[in-house]
Amino acid sequence: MNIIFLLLFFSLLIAVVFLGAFLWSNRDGQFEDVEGPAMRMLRDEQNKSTTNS
Amino acid sequence: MQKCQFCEQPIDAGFKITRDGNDYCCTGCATADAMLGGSDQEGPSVKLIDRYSHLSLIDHKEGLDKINGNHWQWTIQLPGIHCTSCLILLERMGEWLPGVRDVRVAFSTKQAVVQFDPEMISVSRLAAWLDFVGYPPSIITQKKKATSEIAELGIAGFAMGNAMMSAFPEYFGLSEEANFQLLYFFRYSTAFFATISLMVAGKFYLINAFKAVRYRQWSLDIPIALGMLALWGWSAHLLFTGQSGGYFDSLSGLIFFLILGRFLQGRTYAAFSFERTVDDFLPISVFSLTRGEFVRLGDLKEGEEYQIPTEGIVPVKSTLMGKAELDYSFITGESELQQLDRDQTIFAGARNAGSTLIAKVLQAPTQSEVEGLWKSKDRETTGWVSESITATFTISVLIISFLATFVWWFINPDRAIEIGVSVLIIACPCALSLAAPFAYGTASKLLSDMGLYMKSGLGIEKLAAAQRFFWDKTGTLTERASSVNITELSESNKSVFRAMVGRSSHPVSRLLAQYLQEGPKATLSRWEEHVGKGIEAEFEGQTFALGSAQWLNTTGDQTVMAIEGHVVGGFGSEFSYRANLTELFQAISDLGGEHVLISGDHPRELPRNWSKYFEGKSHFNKSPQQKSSLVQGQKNAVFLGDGLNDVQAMESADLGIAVVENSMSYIPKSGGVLLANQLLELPAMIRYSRRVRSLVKWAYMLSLLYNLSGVALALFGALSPVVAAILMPLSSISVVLFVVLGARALR
Repeated sequence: MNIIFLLLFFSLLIAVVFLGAFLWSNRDGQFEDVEGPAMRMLRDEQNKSTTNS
Repeated sequence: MQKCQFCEQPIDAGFKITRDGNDYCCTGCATADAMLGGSDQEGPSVKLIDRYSHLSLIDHKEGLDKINGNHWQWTIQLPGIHCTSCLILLERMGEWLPGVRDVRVAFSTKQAVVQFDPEMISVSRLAAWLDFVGYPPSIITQKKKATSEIAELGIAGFAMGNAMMSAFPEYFGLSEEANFQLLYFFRYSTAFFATISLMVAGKFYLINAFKAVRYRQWSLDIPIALGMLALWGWSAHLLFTGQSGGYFDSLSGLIFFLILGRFLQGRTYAAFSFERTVDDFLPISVFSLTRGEFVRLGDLKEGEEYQIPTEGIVPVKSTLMGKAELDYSFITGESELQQLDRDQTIFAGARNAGSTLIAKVLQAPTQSEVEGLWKSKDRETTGWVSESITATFTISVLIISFLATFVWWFINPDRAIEIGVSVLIIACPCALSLAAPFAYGTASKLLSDMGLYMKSGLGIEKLAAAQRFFWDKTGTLTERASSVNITELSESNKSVFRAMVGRSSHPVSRLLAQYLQEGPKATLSRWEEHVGKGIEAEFEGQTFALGSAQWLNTTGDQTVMAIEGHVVGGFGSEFSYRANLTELFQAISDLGGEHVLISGDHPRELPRNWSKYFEGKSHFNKSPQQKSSLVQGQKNAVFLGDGLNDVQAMESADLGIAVVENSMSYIPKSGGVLLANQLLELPAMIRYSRRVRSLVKWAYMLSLLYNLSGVALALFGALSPVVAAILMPLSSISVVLFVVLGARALR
């Protein structure tokens, strides 16, 4: 039966790791701007096209 | 669909900018095209206005962080950000501005973080440059704590998931006989997660309830907090006495849904920035003549002499040290400039419309006053449900629970406390408080797709209740079809007219300012605005006039520019009524609406078939003050206006809606912004908001039904843990689903 407690401990550990990862990424500011990065991706394209032409 | 010359995105007709014959979707694209297109590789040769010199003293309170000696970082709000080009242009700022090391734009929040070298570029120059390229910066005084909200949401979600998970085994028949240890492990871990959730995410409601009690206001937070505390306390009691696992799983679920609702409410609206009010123009510091340097407002001493540049805002009650011309429209709405003499008193909030003036501090501002100037008025009420209903609700819940305890004391004293507490728990108006935020949150998203950006869900309720529609004429009901004839103007004359229109906030002036473009402004020796007629000014002995043809005794163009009585240019700003307005009025009348027309202009004949809407209800020659007092006190009034001069009326009305053509940089204080090209959709929007309002009423009924049946069960002592555990999350989730799906379906 004790094996269940071990499994529970690990499953909780994994959940806590994910929560920690979420909080870390949030504190890091990854959710502050969810639209910008998609646009910034275009910026390099634009740079190339202007320098090439 | 028309496409932007630069970014090739479809142009939102409301925000079209035309420059050099090309159409752009925003200033960012227009400027970026000019700068990146090779024509102007040097960047704009910056003839910058010194309106931002007061920024030289900002510090971390205004978003400036000094990382080290020559590495500073400034976080600012740029409401003008609109599309990808804006982002690209701003992030390449360093290529034109030496000293700027890095710029990072957060598109969703329209904020930018600029890293720069203070030795090479000053904050005021940065701000002036941003203004020049079309992004007048707003100083951030209160940092938004969106990050902590997201973190709370994450923790509450985590706690709810795990609490529910560890509560399941007991529902599925795990008993003390089967496995004593495991059962208690699960019970305690459920309790642990719920407690975390309550402490991290639920504290908001507890604190608010505490504040409400302290200030003796009834808010829905009180019964919610009571319910939460009762739920937690009773569950803990059950847990420690070994009777059952309590309702910890329900508690964590409730908290999660409550803060999710609160989060969505703020979220739907984040993208559209609103308030660029007088606060944004208030200086952070002024140049003190007494000390010969810039001084922060809080450090100003009584009797100190200081300067206010042109367009600057008077920060503190002062005495004039010379002649001045002041514009009090920000505070009083009075659009006429006031000519003041030496020794007269001037008040905070006035705009300097003349040249740089010198004043003496009459009353040194205290720190709280300075902060008060900056703090935007927070008029948003917390409650969706009116205070009287909340009060009745809370009081009756308390009375019922008290009576239940009292009565059960005689029937069965052992269960008396339990039943009293279960009434508190089950009556927690969680579903009730979820209904409106979720419904209006969904609705404001859908309305913004239609072209109406509501500031808060409360506005939707007001739009639904709207009975009287006050229409501002110029700019709202009319649109311009203009032809400009300024080719004969010499550069020096242009600079005079530029200075003339620069001081006026009349729509025609602002339009003309666009055609005259940026450039030097002459220093006028006299400037006078004649309401409904035009502007008269004097420069180097010559009289310049700009105004209606009738006023200047000529014919031809509607607005005429004249020097010494000779016509030198014209401006055919035919403000024609927008198309299909009659249908619009009729549709709103059909909805039970009444119309009133208010105009600051001289009386003009209205189209004949409008008379049935505006018979005896059209007002002309009204000052902003008069507009406001016409609206004041009217029940269910909506004011639709376009400009600065309507700000007061918009604030007086129950709901102010700004009808905007292409002004992204300045949107007056209003409850909502409506794109002018979507004006005809207004009746559909009203109908929709009415449907949502009745949906919310039905949701209230539904959740009250849940509450009542729950209370009934609790009163008779039939509220078993399983019933409560099912009933509580079910009521919340079903109400949320009901309003969200309903609000979408009603569209």
